[in-house]
Amino acid sequence: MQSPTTTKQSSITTDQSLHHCELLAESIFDEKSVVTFFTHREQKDFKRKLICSSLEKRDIATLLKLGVSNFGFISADLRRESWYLLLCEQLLLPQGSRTDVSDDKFRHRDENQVHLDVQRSFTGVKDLQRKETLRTLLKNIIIRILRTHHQLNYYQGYHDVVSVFIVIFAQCKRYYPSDRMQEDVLLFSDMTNRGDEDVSFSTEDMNNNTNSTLTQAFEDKDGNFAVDEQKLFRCVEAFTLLYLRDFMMDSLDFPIDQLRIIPRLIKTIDKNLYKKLRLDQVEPFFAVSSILTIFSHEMKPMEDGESSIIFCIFDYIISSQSMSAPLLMYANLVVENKNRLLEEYETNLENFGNYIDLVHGIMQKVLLGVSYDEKLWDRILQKMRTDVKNVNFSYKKLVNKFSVLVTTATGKPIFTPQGNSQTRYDLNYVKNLLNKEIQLNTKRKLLSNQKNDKKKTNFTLLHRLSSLTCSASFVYKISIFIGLMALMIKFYRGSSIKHLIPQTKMYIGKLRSSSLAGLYQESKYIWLDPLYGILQNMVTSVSSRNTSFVVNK
Amino acid sequence: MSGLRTVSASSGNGKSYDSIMKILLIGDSGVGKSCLLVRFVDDKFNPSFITTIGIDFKIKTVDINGKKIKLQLWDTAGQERFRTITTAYYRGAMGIILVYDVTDERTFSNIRQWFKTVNEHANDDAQLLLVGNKSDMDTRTVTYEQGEALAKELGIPFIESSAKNDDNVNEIFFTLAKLIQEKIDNDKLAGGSGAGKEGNININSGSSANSKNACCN
Repeated sequence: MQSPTTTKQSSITTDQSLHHCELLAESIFDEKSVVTFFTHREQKDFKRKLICSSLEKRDIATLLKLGVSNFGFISADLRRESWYLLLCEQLLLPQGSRTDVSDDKFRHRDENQVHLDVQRSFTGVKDLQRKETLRTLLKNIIIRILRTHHQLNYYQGYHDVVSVFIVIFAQCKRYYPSDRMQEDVLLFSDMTNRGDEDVSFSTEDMNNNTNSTLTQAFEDKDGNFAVDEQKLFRCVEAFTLLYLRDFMMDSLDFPIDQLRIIPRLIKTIDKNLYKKLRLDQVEPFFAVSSILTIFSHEMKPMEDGESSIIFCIFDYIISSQSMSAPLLMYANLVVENKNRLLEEYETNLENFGNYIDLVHGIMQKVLLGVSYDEKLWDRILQKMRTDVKNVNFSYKKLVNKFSVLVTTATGKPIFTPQGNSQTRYDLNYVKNLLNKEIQLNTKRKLLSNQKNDKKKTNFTLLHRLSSLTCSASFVYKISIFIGLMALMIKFYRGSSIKHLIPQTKMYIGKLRSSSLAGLYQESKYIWLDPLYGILQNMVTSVSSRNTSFVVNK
Repeated sequence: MSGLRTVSASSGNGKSYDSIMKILLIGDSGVGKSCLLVRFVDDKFNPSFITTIGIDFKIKTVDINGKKIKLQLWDTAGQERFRTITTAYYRGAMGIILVYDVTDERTFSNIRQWFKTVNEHANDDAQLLLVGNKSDMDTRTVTYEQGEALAKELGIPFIESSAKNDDNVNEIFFTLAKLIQEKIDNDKLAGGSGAGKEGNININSGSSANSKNACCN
């Protein structure tokens, strides 16, 4: 290693620097700082030490900054402890034991859907037994969350979010330096491979949906490699209630509110792109899976790979306590791919029937293709670290007043001066927010249903009217025909539209005089049968008509 | 009001197809919409295919009566809450495939609800097709006759398929594409004035699973 030249660098290499980590944490891991002088490995090793010391001291403020900066919390072991510490800080639980919800009488209405989605999770895991283990854990955690908070509604995609936590918590248990961790991973997979002896796990247990079998399934004799389900549950619970509340209503209205922020963000970053992609006319539904799953649907979490981006994204979100971060990340993802998007837009203009399809089509094609592009995501996260303060954007008017974006995941604590206490929420307070949000959602659902009904009645009314004109009785048709004929003859005889103007003036004069004289009936007569006047005038000669007009004047 | 509109390839642009058809797959969660699509497009089967969230689309070019037709296949999420989003993509669909699972009666009875949703949001002249998937399974609870009866009642053709065994999967998409093509040709013959709407179209694709009369809606 080359000897550091500046005083700042030399202070980093000494052990003393750990005491000053609060000061350094913020800027030290940004791309442009002096640390880029060192290799990634050296940076990571150093950062690992910082995280460890912050965890030991329960130094939340430093931990928050470390989570946001380059590499996030580095590895699964550190991540698990950091997420746990931060999320416990963010959602405070009341003292006392919690009700056991393993009994089937607590069954949640969405459990059937959970079962369907869990069966389709962890498709990338090759070891079949390991896959089943992860699926069982995933299912148990989701069901426990739903049974504990019965008001929450499960949505397809929630299982993707939870699987990120599952992978982090299942990887290995204890808090070790990196070389030991490698051993643990091996040991753990070895243990699962040995099969039924050590892991009392079988397909029968899978069907048996009880929590007691689960505890058996993940604990070996030493208890060393067991997944700490309690900690895992605590993390998922806090994350769900503080960050995902909007998504777990009875409908997608609130998530759609969040999606609609994306085009506005794109507009503030790149107005030209916003205009060219016609984002003012197209609903941003193309982003729904990325936002509902915080990118975990596109980037499946895997147990190998320390630097996987999806975990860094979660590090960022948990550390900044911000649910607007995924929206801004998505906007940046779009802007970063501007050239390819515009290119595809041009080539596919004729391939799609409307703009909704076209924009969805090109977004899917371009963005899915780059979802595993680490360099691109590094750039986006770097942008988030540096530019996020510049995007001055108020979400208040765009979301409901109890939304996570304006209450429990605002992303504000990170921007306040050092030494601030984190934004903490009491479980009862959050439950109260949840109930209020549910009430609002029900109201809104009712309203939109009424609107739809109105639209339908309007539509049927129009439909009836048009069908009436088409299939109206013969008498109607005849009368309309006569009227049109009369007008045409009039035009023909008068041979100029000029004659129609005095005619109208005459009618208005008639109406005025009759209304002045209080003869409303006559006025009604005039307006109800204008043809009468025309026909009458037709009978009289042109000259007499002119004189009558003069008289009237 | 003609929703049947193929996007013709402009000549000299070097495009490898004659027209494009937009086709939608709908039905309850887990009936195998994505599996049918993956089997048809990539000829693969994975029993635990990933959940569809929102909308996904794939493209496959097929040859129908000597014409190269690009099928634009839109796969939708099955969970009820996603309907607000998925119905936004019904516009302009020329074909809609309603899928149920023959081993799950609930998904079969929900077809009526899906049919209603289609009538509310899709073009009037979209060609529908009912598909009973997972026909390879022993645990069947919906018989072929029940499926056929429902199709008759709704006035749409019916096919039973298995994405796992690759039974009748291609037939689904080819039957639908042919029906749409016939409709377009009929429309052209009638001067594109929307006439021929009441005409019955015969499916002569040779598949025994097809109902004889397909009524256009």
